[in-house]
Amino acid sequence: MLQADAAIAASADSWCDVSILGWMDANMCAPLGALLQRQIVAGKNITVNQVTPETEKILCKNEFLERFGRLSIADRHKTTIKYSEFRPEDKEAFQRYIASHFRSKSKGLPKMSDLLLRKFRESLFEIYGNAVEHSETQGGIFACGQFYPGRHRLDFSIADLGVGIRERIRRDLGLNMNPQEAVDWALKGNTTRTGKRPGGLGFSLIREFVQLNKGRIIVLSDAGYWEFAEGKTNVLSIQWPFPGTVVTIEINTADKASYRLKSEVNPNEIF
Amino acid sequence: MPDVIISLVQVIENKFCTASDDGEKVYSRIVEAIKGGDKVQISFEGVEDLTSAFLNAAVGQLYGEFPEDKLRSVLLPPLEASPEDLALLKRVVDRAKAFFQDPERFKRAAREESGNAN
Repeated sequence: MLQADAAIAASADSWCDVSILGWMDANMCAPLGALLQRQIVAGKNITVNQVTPETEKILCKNEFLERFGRLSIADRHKTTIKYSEFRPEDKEAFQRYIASHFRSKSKGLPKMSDLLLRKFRESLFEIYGNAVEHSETQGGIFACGQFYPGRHRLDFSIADLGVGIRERIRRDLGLNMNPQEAVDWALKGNTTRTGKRPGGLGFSLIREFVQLNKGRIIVLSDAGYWEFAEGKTNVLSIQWPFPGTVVTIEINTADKASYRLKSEVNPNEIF
Repeated sequence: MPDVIISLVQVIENKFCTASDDGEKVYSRIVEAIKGGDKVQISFEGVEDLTSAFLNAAVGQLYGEFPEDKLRSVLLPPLEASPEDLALLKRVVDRAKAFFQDPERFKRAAREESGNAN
């Protein structure tokens, strides 16, 4: 995907045909939509003409291909979470989107405990909030997800076309890190905040949730790739940088683990 | 007894307490109340979702505005907060205390960890 994006950018042609030959996880529409949007804004005319039939069906159900002139298909099983683009200032739109898909009575949602569902929603809000606060994205924020009922899995991705984690750290703290160091640093609970408002808890909370759930979280920013699953972290440098940040969260919807706290906080001992 | 009960949902007119700019609205109300000499009780009634970003703005940054002992004396135990809400609030408060006690520590730690130590 990133290699193709680089090829489109380098091409002198104003018309570019994109083919999706093979299976693509539907939540990947978020970063793909971001990349194509960037090309469109740069003046390229993008068409999507060749898509493997199975993939095409899903990308019509989640309305991604509607962006490129295809008709949407009704999703009878309600396993798709619609591809959507958001402006950073329109938080209500994202809140409505999340509420429509991830409340206990939402159609198609697998049976999940209320607390698991709430933890998942809050993780998505934390990720979106990070994109709004830190990315300086001019190109919007892109979201898409997919349920896999047979595998008891729910995948969701949020992408932005912002400055990326490495550049954020450089601008705010004057620290020069390579892209994978930057992503690793940020995901350890560090913060670039130096002003009057503390920060740095968001990803720690998501990581703890994913660990308990036995899910997975993947962050791609610039050329830094970071993955956490089964208690292990994997950090890599990739060849083709992503022009912004993509966060993907995969959760186990059959998780019966209790998210109830082991010990309750005394309300008299908070402040 | 509180002098003022500040309901998160009523202040931001939204049950999703997730955005930091909404947290700022709550912060402003709390600061106004404290500077007016009031004891404040924050109500979580009706909150559907809650993030650290919201709480950092609403409550965390109070620790940069007022001394810790002042806040301890004027912020009463929260109302209608679930155990999970309280746990998140506690984490935000603890982190804010550490942050404002020594903001440079966070920067130094970042430099050391990145190998950019001076």
